[in-house]
Amino acid sequence: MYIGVLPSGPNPGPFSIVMRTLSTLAYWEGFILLGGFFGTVLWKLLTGGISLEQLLEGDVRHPNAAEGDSTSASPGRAQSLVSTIFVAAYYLLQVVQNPKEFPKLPPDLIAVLAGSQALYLGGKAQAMLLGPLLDFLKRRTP
Amino acid sequence: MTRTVTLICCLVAAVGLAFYIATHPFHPENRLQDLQLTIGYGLLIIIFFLGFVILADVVTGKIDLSLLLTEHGGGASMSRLQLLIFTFVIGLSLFLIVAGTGKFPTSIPKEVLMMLGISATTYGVSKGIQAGGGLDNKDGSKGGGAPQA
Repeated sequence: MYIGVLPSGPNPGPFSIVMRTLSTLAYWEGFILLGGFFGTVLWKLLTGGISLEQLLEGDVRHPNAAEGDSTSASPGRAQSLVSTIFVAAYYLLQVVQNPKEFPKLPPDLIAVLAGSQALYLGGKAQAMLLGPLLDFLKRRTP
Repeated sequence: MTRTVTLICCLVAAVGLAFYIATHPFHPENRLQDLQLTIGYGLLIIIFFLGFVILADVVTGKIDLSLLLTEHGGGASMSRLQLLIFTFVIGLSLFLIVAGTGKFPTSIPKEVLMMLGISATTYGVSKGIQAGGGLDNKDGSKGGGAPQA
């Protein structure tokens, strides 16, 4: 891991040593703060501190029902979660293997992600908007 | 109170370090490098203490993250979770790249921007659908759920 900004010579001067120390400290500071934030959020996700309740349940609108909206298991949300985790894991693995530049994602993977999101949004729109629209059209039709 | 003490300590440490470097120059003939060092160490101290205060508040619960992924209707939001995951992945990638090369990347591939764009667009459209559908809370009541983003 590269944590210095100056070439190391046989007799580095005091400025070089102090500058190298600055780089090392900056590296560890980033490691502690970013690791702390990521770790804390992950810990709260796993222990329920950040609620994931009803993550895989979609809203279904019942405009004529007295109880209003209800929820049901949503395949659209499940496939969206799987594709998101897959793309994120793929990207992270690419970075870990070659931490020199941002890796490029294959266009096919982007297309899969976009399609997955479109499917999720389509399902959500169908569940929430199609019913009221049909009701509206039914009322307008003599 | 703790926050104030931490900020004061942070400023005192940064000013003390600047004073030390000013009175003990490494390069008397080139004070610009001393200035670089002073600013570098000062920023390092300030960012660390500010970040640490926020991190401590998150850990102790003073900054409440329990509704971070909760949408207006009361359940967890898939698009918020996705945005969170991608933000973490890109942030971690940037840190690894900067630590690995010692400099910021010169360009960001358009695929990365597309990935974040897809995620953010999904979130926005999802909120639009919810607003258009007039979503009730999952307990059947109207509105009054978790705060909106």
